[in-house]
Amino acid sequence: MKLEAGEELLLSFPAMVKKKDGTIHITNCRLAWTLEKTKEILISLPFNSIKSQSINAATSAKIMLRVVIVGQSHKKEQFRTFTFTSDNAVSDREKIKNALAAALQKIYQKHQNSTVLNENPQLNETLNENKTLLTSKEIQIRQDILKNYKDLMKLHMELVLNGLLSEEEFWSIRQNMLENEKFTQKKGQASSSLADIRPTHNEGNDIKYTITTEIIHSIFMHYPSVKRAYDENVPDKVNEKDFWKRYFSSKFFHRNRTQGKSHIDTKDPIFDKCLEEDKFTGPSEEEIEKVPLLIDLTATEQNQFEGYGTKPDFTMIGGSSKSNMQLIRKFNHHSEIILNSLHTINQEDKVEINNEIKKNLVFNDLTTKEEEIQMPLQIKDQKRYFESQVTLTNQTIDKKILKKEEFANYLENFKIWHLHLNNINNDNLHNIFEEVFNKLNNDVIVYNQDKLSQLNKDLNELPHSAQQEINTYQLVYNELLKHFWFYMPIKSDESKETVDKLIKILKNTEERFNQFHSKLIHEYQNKAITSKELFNSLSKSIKRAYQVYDEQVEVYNKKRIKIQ
Amino acid sequence: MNDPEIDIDILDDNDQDTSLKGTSGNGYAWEDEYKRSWDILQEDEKGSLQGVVSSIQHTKRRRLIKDTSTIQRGIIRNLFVIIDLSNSMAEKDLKPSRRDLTFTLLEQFINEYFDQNPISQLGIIVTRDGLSEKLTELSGNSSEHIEELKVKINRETRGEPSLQNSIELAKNSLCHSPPHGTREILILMASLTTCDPGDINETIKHLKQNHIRVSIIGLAAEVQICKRICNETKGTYGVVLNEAHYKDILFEMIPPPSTTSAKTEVGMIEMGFPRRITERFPTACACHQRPIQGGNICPRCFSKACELPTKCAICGLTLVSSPHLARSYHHLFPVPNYMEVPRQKISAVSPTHCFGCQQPFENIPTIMNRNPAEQSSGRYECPKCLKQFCVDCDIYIHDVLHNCPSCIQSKK
Repeated sequence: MKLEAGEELLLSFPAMVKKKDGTIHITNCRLAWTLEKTKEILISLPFNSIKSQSINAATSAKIMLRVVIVGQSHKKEQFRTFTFTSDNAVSDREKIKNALAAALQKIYQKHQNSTVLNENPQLNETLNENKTLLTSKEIQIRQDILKNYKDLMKLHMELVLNGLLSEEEFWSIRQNMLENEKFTQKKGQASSSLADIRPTHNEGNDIKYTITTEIIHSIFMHYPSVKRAYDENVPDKVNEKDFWKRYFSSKFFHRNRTQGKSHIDTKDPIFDKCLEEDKFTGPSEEEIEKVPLLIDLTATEQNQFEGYGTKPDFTMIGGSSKSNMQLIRKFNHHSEIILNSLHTINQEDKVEINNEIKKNLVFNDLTTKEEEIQMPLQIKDQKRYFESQVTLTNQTIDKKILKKEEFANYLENFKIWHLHLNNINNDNLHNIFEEVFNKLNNDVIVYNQDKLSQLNKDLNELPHSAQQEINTYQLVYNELLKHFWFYMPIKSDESKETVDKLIKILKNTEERFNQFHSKLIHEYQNKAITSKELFNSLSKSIKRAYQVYDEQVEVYNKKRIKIQ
Repeated sequence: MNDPEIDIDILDDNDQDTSLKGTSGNGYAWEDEYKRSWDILQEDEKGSLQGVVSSIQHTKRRRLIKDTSTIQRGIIRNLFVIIDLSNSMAEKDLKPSRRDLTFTLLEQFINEYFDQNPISQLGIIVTRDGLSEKLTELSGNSSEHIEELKVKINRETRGEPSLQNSIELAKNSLCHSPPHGTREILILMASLTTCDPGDINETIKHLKQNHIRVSIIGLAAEVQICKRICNETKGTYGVVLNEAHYKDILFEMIPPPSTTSAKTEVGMIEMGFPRRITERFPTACACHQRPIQGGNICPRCFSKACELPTKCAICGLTLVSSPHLARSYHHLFPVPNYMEVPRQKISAVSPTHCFGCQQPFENIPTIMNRNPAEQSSGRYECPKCLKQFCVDCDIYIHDVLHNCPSCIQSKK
């Protein structure tokens, strides 16, 4: 059987389909069946197109496996039936069935949160008929984006669902949006622990504590002994509600709170055990090996250089103040949690801390700052910046030096010069004046007319559906143009095909728009004219696109001829 | 030791910056209980305030000494501003409150930023409650950002800030920006803690790989992790003393930064210069589908854009006009700092009027009568053309004009 790139054949067994002999194959991408005589693949079912499989009883005459194909929900389901023909038909079928089941399971996992797909059944279909597999998360992201941007939703419905553009193409120029939505962030653990709950006081003598799952998680993180007690006792020995009730009335809980009720005498086996566990028994006997001297708090004169006349320091011994032990334990536990979250503490760092006294004594703030390396400006042709300013002043004007007599001549003529207006031909003048004046007047009137409010008024008078149509046409044109320019300049055959297709769609859309508009004019006459003017800028862009397209096709064809 | 009552007043030249410190002359704004801003002004023996006023002006000018070497700078900037909206922002040690002051200064910053860097882009991110949220995307439209800043919901403070989440969010967007522009993050941090879901060292590593430069302005105190981030990404870290200092540090971010050695191979960047047209009837613009009567036509795809500078909505070409580029250029060729002329060098042949505004300079004898600490000749000399200017012209030339008027004349 001919395999695609990256495909691996897993199993093959002889099987019949519709009374023709052949072989059924399972690869890592699909289920296929080849005809015996010609060995060509007549049935090829990628795994994401298979909905389910079923088998008939092992004792029946024919051992069959039936596969249901994904299709449109309102159409009849399609099947493919394979009849196993070899001697070990049953075991063959079992193997194929298991392999297929495993593959389908994997796909099912990916489409787990498929409630999304139910909202938009049409979207569901286009996505399913897609060759590439989209994870449900990506589908969710696309749905979200479409929901948030109404314009995009309109565009999507117009173009993709009418088959003009494919889903992939639609999103290929919007990668940025997809990336942005994909970003997820987690909330970190706050230092102030939620485990220190204050009771919400009610009227009377009842005290009420509210617990949420977050608070419970917080309590488990800060008090590992409570977690242990919880795991052991709930739900077998003690009900969860009772557990928490007893927790709040226990000595354990109130031991750290000095406000009010610190004299609880009730004995509670679970939480007394917690108390016992946390009781301080003295500093741990094990010595932490090789603490670097720079951070060793317990290092004393014994393991340091000879004293300089100072009193020996015995304060830094663990476990000296017994009363604060619980609190200190809690803080240490908290610090442990924080340090454990850092991933970059590795073996190499541990070795580095080794007593680099000199490095640790130098404070960056007290040393002179080292100069930042700056790149000197290297404008390749600095003249070009100044050129524009310089050329204006450098133009060598041919200076003509006037001679004295010439200058005297000029002066004479200037003195006797007179403005002779009455020599001008009167008729011509009148016409010229009128022409100029009218033209200026018109231009000013045209310019001052508030075209914008006129346009808005006209547009508002059109029915709502017409307005929506106009808007949709604008969006569709923009979208098609965007796709067109995305593929410019044409470099490969595939992009040429896409561009050809786009130009065709563009021409179609133009025709449709013209029809729509002539209909509008027919019905509403003048009001529709201003709305047509609205599309002037777009029509210029479209003409430009056609022009560029023709040029590009010429260039590309020439290139191909050269190569061939 | 019995010291006789000799008051030894040690006057540094630098001590004249009275407005930099809190009113009592000591360090931070939060150290004072209440401000007596009127104490700064004191009359001299003749009852005139002129001396004090001019000394304040001179100290103002002192802050102008900027870096003016001709080096490579990143002119096309992509900057994300991250605002910490945690509970610490609600503190009132900076008047009226840290958050309100931050937002006011940010508005001014945004206007000035787009004025000085017209082809750059800006985006805003806020962080509160351990999460971060993008208020505006990277764009070159200043009114969009200022509108978002005014929305009341966006100004609420809650919970703890998260350095890592906000930096990750900014990094996500910056990674997609083209490599010929600079990638910067500016963080306005008031809290002393941060609540992160993971290891921030990983984030720092990614920042360095992507050549993103992070600068932080702290409103409370110096925090070691902030200092480390700034050092490793070659940004600047500053802690605010009081309101005026806050504005100064913030505005230091406006001139484009020098490029680090990493990105030296930059090719040609394609930009379009659109044609400006007016039409008889309003037509729709390609970016918003709004009808306008005239606009800018992209030279490549002939589609209409309503305002510049922008990116063509259809073909993606950056559209600028030449004044925008010219405004960016003057950062590359800055006006050299003017040196103050010492009193001794002023003689009868020195110019009596400022070259820029033709106002007469103060007489030397009047200057000599004043408090020695406030003496300055009031003359500032351009090192290239040796013309003298007054303090107002100096500030105007360096802040607004960006060209020395006499140097330009003498180019012939």
